[in-house]
Amino acid sequence: MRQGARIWVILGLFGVVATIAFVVLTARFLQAASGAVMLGVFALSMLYIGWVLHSGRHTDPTDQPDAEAEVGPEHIFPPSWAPPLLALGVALFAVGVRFTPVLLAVGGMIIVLTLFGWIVQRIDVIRLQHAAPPGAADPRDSGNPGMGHDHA
Amino acid sequence: MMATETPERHASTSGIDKVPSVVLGVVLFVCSEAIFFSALFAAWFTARGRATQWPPAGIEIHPTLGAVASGLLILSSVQVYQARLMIRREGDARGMARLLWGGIILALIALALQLIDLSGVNFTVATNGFGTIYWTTSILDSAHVAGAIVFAFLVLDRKWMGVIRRSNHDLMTAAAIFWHFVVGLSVFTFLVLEVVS
Repeated sequence: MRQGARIWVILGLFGVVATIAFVVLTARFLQAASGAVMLGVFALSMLYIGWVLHSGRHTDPTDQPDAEAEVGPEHIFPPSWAPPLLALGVALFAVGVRFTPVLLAVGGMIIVLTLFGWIVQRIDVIRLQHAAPPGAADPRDSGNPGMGHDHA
Repeated sequence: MMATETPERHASTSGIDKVPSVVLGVVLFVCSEAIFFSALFAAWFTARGRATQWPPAGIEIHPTLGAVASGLLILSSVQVYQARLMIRREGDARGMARLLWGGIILALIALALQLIDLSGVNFTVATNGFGTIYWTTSILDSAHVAGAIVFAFLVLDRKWMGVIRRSNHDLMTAAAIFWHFVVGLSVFTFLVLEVVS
C-alpha cells in the first residue's frame, strides 16, 4: 500500500472499530444511531480517501504510451469574482427566506446579475476561442478584465 | 452517501501514476462535507431519541414533493454517470454535454420542488429544535444541489472551450463524484427528515 494512503486507511479502520464499539455499548437505539452515523461516516470517508490515494500506483510509463501528463494551469477554470459573489447572493437569499424579504430580494438580485455577468463573460471567451486560428494565444490572456477576470 | 466513481490514473512525466489534483480535491471536499452533514443527522437522531412525541405537536410533514424530487435526482445521477462514460469510453464530448444537460434540467426541477416543499411547511427555523435541524439540513442540502448544478456548468464551459476530451476528462470525473454525493445526500436527507419522521 502506498504510504500516503496508509494513514487514511488506519484512521478509517479506527473509525470502524469505534463505530462498532459505540453501537454495542449504547443501549438505546436512537442514541446508537446518532453516534454510528457520525463515526460511520468518518470511517467511510477516511477509507474512501485511502482507497483513492491507493488507486494511484507506481508503473512504468512505457505501459501507457498514449497517456498524457496531468493538465496544466491553462486547463483550469480561470479566476473570476463570480463564484464568491454567487456564494454571497445564495447566502443572503437563504437568510432572506427565513428572516426578511429585503435580503431575499438583494440576494436574488446578486445571484441573477452575477450569473448573467459570468455567462456573458464566458460566452465572449468561448467565442474568441473558437474564432482564434490554431496555435493562437489563449484569448483569456487578451486582458478582458470584466467581472474580475484578471488572469493574473 | 459516499461517491462511487473510480478516480482516473495518470502517467506523469516521472513515471508515477497519481490521482489528478481536481479529483483528489473533490474527494477531500466530499468527505469533509459528509462528516459535516453527519453531525446534523446525529443531532437529529439525538433530538428524536429524547423527545416524547415525534414529530412535535402541530408539526405537519408532507413527503410527496420530496419523494418526487428524490426520484428526479436519482434519474439525474444516472444521466451524469452516463455522461462520464460517454466521454471516458467513447470520447464523445457532445454526447457528454447532452447527457449533462439532461441531468442539470432534472436537478433544477428537483431543486424547485425542494424549495416549494420547504416553503409549505407549517413551522420555521425558530419554532423548536425539530424546526431548527429540519430547516438547516434542508437548506444546506438544497444549496448543495445548486452547487452540483454550478459544477456541471463548469464542465460544460470546459467542453465549449474544447478542453474536455477522452484523454482529459478529470473535471467531468470530479463533477460526477460531487453530483453522486449530492444525490445520495438528498435522498438520505429526505428519508431521515420526511419518511422516518
